[in-house]
Amino acid sequence: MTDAKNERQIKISSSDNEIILVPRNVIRLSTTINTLLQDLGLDDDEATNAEPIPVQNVAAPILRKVISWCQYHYQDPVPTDDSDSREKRTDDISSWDTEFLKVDQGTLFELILAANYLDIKGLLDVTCKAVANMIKGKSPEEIRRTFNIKNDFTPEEEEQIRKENAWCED
Amino acid sequence: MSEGDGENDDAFGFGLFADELDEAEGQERSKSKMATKKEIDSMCEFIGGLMNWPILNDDCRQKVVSFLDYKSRFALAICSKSDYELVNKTPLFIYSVDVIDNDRDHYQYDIEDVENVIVRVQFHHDYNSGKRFELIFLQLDDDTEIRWPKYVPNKRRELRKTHLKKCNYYEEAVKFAEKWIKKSNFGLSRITIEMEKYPLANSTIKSLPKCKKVRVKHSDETVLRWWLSKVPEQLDNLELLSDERDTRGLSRDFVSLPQIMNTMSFYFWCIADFSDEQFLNLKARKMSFDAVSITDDGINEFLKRWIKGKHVDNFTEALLWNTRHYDQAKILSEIEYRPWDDAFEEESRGFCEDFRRVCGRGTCFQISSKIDPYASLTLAIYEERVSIQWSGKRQIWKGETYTDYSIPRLHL
Repeated sequence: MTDAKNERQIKISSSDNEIILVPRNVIRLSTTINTLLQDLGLDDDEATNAEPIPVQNVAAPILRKVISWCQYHYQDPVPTDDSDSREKRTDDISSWDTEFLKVDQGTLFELILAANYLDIKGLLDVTCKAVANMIKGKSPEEIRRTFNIKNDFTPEEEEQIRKENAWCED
Repeated sequence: MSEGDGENDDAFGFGLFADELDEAEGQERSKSKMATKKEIDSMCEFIGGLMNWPILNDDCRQKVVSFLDYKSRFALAICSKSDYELVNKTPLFIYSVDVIDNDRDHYQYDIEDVENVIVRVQFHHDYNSGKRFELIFLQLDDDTEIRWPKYVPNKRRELRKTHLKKCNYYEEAVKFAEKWIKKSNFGLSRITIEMEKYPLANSTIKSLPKCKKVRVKHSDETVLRWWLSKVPEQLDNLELLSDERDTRGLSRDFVSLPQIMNTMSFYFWCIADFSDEQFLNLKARKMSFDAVSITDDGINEFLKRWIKGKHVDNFTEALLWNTRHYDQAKILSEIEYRPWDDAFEEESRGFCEDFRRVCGRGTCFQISSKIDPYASLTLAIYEERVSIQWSGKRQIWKGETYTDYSIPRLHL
């Protein structure tokens, strides 16, 4: 992590106009920013960009949180997209991430959106795994309650779906 | 696992370890220590839910669903119409689907002499992981009855049932199986079809591009050809079976299909009319078939090529079934070999007896490689087959090189 601090810095600005400096290697985890830097020809430049890269959809508190995640994980091996070749797991979360994700629901929601917008695969995966873990093992009634879902099925429709999938509820 | 199954999905044979092995692999990839279940539960409890779920965009909600197993997906799907749609459009990883008709020995469904179709869907590559379900479809007057076992801890297994009004059990079973194949975005790794009358004309299966392990039981070559046209040309394992083993078979034209010539392993429970030339050009490391047209000269050439190192990498075993007279002199012509005499039995330290116990008492010879003198094949000639197995392997122990003899197993 100290290495990252000595490296070239990239200036990015949040949706509420806060400017944040991030080491180039750290922000490399964001495919969105990476592509932008390359497209703008700023990747060849040794110096810090004068004009910050706008991250319009993410407010400063969330952006700082995203960067702290990237700072911890930027040296991780690049995750392989093996989603097609094996069953996905939700229990392969690091201890550090479980502490990182002890946040209020609003922050988790914003983190998921930011990870999606910035295209940070590892962060999107781990935040979505956290949500998936909260769904697993719950009954439909419990999921509706904790996920604020309004049941818009008629009783007949719901009964029909349950009947067609009766074996699945065992 | 089926007889002659060329695959071994779980080399340890203990499903208990499947996830732990996956985890160990995952840990290598990350510098971070993996969280315990307690830590994950504590995180979930702290967050408490996600009240903004209904306004989360579709991409993110779909990403969450992609991490859910089928039971959790069903629980979510039933919450609202939009969640139902979301779940239905998110592909689910399915390892394999089996569709099998008239398995009458299935003790757990209380069926005797009742026509039925079993549909088995497996989510994990390891059968013993328990991540699978199985339903049986039967005809009950005009309706279809579906049965499945419900396992209750410390209690006797219960059999559950549901009914579909006025429909044919066979069609419903196929529809159900294909619905699950579609849920995987046609991305299965393995398929088993043992169906006498699979309605191919109405099938929704256009292609199974990742399905590299295939087992089909049928006597009609047209049906087999249909299934092979759906899977990649390079397979890992192919099993073709027929109820009419002795009378119906695979034609020379059919066996020339790339799915057969290129597969890494195959097991045919039927006649396969390979010519000597085709046999010599197979890419399989392991094979078993009724070899009606392979001649003694063809076997001789196969052995000679192996001796010169001109064989597929890691060739393991060829079982050529045919009850006929085998001409030993022809098969071993111009080949240096060792009969299994007392000297060899002593040198191989119990291997010969193990081999005879497992593979039967044939006339056996050991044939060494010219490329690696510590590597050798066992040629065994029986009344009803010839087997060629790579049984002698180079080993080094305390700086000393020697040959270790064992019955080969192929792990794919």
